[in-house]
Amino acid sequence: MSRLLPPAFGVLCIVALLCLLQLAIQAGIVDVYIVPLPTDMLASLPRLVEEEHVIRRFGVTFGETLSAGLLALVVGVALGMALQHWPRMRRAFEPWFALLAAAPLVMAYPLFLVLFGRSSLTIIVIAFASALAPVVLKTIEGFATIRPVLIDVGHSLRMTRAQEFRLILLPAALPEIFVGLRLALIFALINVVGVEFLINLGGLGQLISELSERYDLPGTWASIGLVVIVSILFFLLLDGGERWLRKRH
Amino acid sequence: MKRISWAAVLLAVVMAPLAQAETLKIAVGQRGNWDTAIPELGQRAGIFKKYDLDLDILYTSGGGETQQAVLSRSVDIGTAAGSLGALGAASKGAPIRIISAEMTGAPELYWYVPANSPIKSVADLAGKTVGYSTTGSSTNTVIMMARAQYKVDFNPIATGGLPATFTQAMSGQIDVGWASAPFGVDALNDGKIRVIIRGRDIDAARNQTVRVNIVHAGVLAAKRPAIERFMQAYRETLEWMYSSPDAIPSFVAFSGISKETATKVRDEYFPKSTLMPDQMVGLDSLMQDGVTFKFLAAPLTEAQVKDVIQIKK
Repeated sequence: MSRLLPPAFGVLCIVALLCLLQLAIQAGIVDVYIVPLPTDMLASLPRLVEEEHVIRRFGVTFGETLSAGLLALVVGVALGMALQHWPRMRRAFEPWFALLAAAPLVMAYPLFLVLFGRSSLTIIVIAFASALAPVVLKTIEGFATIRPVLIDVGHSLRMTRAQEFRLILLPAALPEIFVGLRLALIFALINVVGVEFLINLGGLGQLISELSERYDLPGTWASIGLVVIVSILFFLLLDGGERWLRKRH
Repeated sequence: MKRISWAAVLLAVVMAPLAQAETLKIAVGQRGNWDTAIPELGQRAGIFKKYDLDLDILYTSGGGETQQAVLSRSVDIGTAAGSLGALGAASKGAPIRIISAEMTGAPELYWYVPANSPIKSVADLAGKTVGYSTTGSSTNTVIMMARAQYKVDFNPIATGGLPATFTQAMSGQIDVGWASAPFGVDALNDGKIRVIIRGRDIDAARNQTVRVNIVHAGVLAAKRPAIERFMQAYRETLEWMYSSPDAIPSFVAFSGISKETATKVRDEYFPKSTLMPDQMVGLDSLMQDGVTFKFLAAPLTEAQVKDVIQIKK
């Protein structure tokens, strides 16, 4: 019960903030033609489901982000481990990954369009490219900061290299890798929605663009809320995944 | 004598702010277009100054952003906002007022193919993909009108803004791209692309005001004299842009395109009659389009139209 209290308190605070916003709009403190009433946003959801196929769009955005995240996980962890294993390569490439993390890759979408076509693949590749750097950097950091004493314990127990990796190195590096993954999913989601918005293709980003053009403010804000829900879902998935992996190790 | 000169200084200090031109903040959709350059060119030519106005111009990426800037009262006037968007916002009760037409017809729009495309004319478009920007935009309505006029069953597809569409068209991801002059005019001159459909050839589009100039109702009430002076200066600038030899060099300096392209853009893509601000036409068909594209739940009533459209000639 006590475990549920903090998240419940968090949800209550959000609800309270929305109630305050509702009151502020009704009192005319916030202009209803700039921010719609939260109750209007909620009321627009059935219409979005029926007329704008929002469930399918939600699935598209979720799927694209998940694909980019999984790709970043597989490629990023492998690259991070390889760079950590070969220090010269690490010195050569780590700064480039740091630069990649800061690069606004979304601006290069015309190039990706030419390379991968007008499809979800373009969106996934841009999101993957943006999500890769944090996974690589955090994987390097995770393995680089393992306490030597843990490795010494492995040696004293005459562990094989595979055992050492599975029982000592990976569990010790996992928290940092998950930090990288969280960042990666944030980058991926931002890029997925941004590119959908820019090239008018796919899921929630395209919907937000169309609804805002139509001045459907409740619909626009409700769709933005759905993007937040996608983000929350990924965090819940990651939390669950991390807990499961830690229990196994 | 000394007392009189001190009084004169004091009077000058007090009166100085009154003598300054009034500042109006203007949101302009799409920097660099001939039609949206009216405030900029008028300001450069000193025409707005003549009407005691100093324009503080900011550029937006299009009608939706301009409308938001107006509704949030971040700016006093928004130019080149989409008519459908403005009517849609008004139908939802937003305090938006249309003070003039900005563009009637769509002569600046054209649809193109890469020079090596097998598509030679509209007749070749059956089954092909043809781009437009976003659902409900003027490019969307005009291409639907073109499909009806030419009776060719092509597939309109939302391709986003000008550069993204150009990339998709030139790399063969779509068959036909859309553009709005001056974008792509250099590529046309160089023979890299060919025009397949011109907005000016679409009969139904010719009689529809597709973009308007808008203000917030509160701003109109508070600054009506200044806004009326703005429209006077706007009309005078428009005359100047088509009669003065200084207009093209000024546009070249502003937009960065060549003199030849700028002249071609003005003379071929923006006939003066399409920019006349004093009448909003094709309201019935506009409202039908508004309903079709979900901008409007139903056409506006006569009373609503009277309230929203406040064009003073």
